Amino acid sequence: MKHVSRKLCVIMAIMLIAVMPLSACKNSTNTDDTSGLTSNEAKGDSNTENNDTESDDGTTVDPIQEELAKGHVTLIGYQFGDNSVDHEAVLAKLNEKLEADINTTIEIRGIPWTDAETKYKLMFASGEEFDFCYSGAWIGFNSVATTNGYKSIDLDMVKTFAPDTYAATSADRWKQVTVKGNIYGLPNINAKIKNVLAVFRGDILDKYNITSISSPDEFVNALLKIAAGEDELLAWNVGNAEQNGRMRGTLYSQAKNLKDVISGVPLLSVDMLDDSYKIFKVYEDPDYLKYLETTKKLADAGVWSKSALANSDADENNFMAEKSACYIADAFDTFSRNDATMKALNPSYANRYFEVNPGYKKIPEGGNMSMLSINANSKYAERVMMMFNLFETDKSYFDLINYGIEGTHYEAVGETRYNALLPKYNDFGGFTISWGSNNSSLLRQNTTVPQEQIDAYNKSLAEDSIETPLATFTFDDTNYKNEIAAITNIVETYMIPIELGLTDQAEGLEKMKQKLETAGIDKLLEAVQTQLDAYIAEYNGNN
Amino acid sequence: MKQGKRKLFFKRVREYRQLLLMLLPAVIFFTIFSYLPMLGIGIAFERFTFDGGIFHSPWVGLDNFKFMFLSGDILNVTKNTFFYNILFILVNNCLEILCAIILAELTSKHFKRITQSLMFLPYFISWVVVGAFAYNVLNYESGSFNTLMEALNLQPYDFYNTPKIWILIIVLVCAWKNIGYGTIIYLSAVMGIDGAMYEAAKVDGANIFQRIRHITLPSLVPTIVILTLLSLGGIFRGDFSMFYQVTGNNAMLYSTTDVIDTYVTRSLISTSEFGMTAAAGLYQSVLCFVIIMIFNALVKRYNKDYSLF
Repeated sequence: MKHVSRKLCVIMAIMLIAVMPLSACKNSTNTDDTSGLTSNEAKGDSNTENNDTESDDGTTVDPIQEELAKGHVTLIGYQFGDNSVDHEAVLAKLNEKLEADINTTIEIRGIPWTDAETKYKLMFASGEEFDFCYSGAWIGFNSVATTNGYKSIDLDMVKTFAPDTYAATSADRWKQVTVKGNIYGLPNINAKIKNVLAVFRGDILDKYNITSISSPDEFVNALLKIAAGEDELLAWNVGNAEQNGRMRGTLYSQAKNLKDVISGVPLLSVDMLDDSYKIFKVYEDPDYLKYLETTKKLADAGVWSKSALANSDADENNFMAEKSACYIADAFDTFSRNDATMKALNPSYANRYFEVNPGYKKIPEGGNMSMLSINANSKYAERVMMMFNLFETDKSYFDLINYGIEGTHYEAVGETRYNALLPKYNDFGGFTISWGSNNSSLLRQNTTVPQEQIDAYNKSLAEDSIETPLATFTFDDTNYKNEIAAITNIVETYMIPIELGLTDQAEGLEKMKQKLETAGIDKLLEAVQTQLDAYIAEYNGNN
Repeated sequence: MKQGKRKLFFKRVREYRQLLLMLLPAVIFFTIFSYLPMLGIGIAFERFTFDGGIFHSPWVGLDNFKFMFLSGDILNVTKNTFFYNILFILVNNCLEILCAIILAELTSKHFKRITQSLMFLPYFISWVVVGAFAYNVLNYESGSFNTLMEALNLQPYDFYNTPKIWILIIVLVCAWKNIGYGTIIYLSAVMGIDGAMYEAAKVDGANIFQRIRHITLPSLVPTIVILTLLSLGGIFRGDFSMFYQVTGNNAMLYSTTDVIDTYVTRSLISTSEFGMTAAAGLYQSVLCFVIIMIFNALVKRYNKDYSLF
């Protein structure tokens, strides 16, 4: 016994020694912090003294000048993706301009796309020191905001430090980036819709005499024709969940103008044109059952692979790899690039685009889809706002971060077009942080994009976009996280195989319903409906 | 008296200072990487916020565990995880012992080295690559297996729609990948057996199989028991990348290939709630802890020297 306690003593002593350096680290950082503070305070004091003297003279103090007087600042920002072509050169040029204008330089760090989802949140969890980052609803804006990762933004401060941004951003836009009463991002002001089109390979269409596709039925028939005639080539290689969502959109929800009320849970939808905003479960809708019959027919005809569920490639990649004849695209920007790539493979592969559900209603993309947010720990919120103001509203900055250096990467063609100076610069892509400060009034289109495509897009943007409170409604899931997690799992486990028609649909649907009920779908439906009703009432009251 | 004790303590520290110094790195390592992080268990019971951190986030009790039990699949998934690991332990250990003994008995040095290297090679291939292999071999339309079947005028086989066959595929793939590593451990144990015993057996007229049966295998028992006990410690942890990549995250196969890790990932991929992931990890750890305690007690009863503690 004595022996044991002695051993214990030794271990405890050693553990203490081991822990001591750690606590020492902590202490030292603390002292650093305080010393930093005091020096700041000292600076602040001297500034106030200056202010005092100035105000004695009767001149009002310009807060921007006051901020600039604090000296040079290096901002650290995070964006996604690997560096674009000539990243260093463009960044150097950008820093030169920023240095001259607001006495600031920026350092851009990147998160590779493959790690985007995981690393983004770890950045906040680890307490890494950075000042701003790209953020968006699709990359977990809401969850980072509710866990207090971003600095809450004060509109008065925006008015002072980013006056042009403040003037250009509508109240609605700010509302879209508000979570639980606080603004957590500087939203983009880009009027944008998702222009979902079916892209077919021209040579295949000619082979089967398919000239126009303007309804889901015609789309299905075209796919069936191709599947029946082609041996090696798949008609449409769908697979993972995302493509499945596009399939559901094209063949079911677009025609009915439906919107999911909780992002990531495609089970609860609402008709965008229905003023009562009654949420329903899609799997109880007779049209959904018809849609399932259609997909079964497509699957049985071999439109997509029997191993589609194990296929992790996007349908777009399969199309580009000459493995399939069609894909669904929703990014206007990629059309021209993909056209060029396909033509390079074989000149006869001229892509053709069809709107399967012409005129279906689209909700313009909210400000919450792309923005820049300020890290809760940042000491330089003012500088970030000043930088954002330039990125979003100053054309020379906008062009630089989106299209590169004029004369090296692009040449401006008028105010709305540009010409890439070398073919590789068609892919320049800019800094991904520029998505967050996007501004449709400054946007240029590549001269390779045909005017008809731009016109069709603009027409759709003007005619089909609708204004609805659904655009800004976000479900507060604080008390329903368990239900949502369980239901997300059920969607992946049951809904996707059923929709791909690779399993016994009736049996699968029955099982899914039963699982959903035990997981609390009704409770969730009730909660969303209550929140939505309250939101609509508030929205109508405000307008 | 007390002073005497303390004196004795310091005397012993001085006496064993070299040994203690050698112990120090291990103690520091485990303190920093195993014991301090245990504070993180607290997250499983909190609604984690970035500004609150581990110590100041709001407490929610057992709320974070609820999502696993809501749809009633967790039992099946836990069962899958458990039985897969049992299969892996049985199949891998048997094959590893077999290979180790064969390698030890081989006399050609070059052949031995080449074989060992080839067996070890798959260990270094990433599961993502293995998943791509699997898809290209097994997919229905253009997989090499089905292309071969077609060439032979046989019916193609729909692997990605037949959950049962995947138990076999996964066990085989796991064995293929891990055998080389385990073989090395057993091989070193076999090499450690006193050569005099074999000599004596030979003199007494024992043939090679008798020698293996009566000398090699009994000498390996402690190693087998320790390795098994260590792998039991992870019996409720599925190898995420294996189950996710090799099956291509295929929903049709979940009934036989879904393990706790893939199940939890699927539930939380869009919410990424730190508390809930920590809760899932804790659930696995507690089950593993129970299992390892039970088995260790059983081993202890059978032979005290073989138990872990």
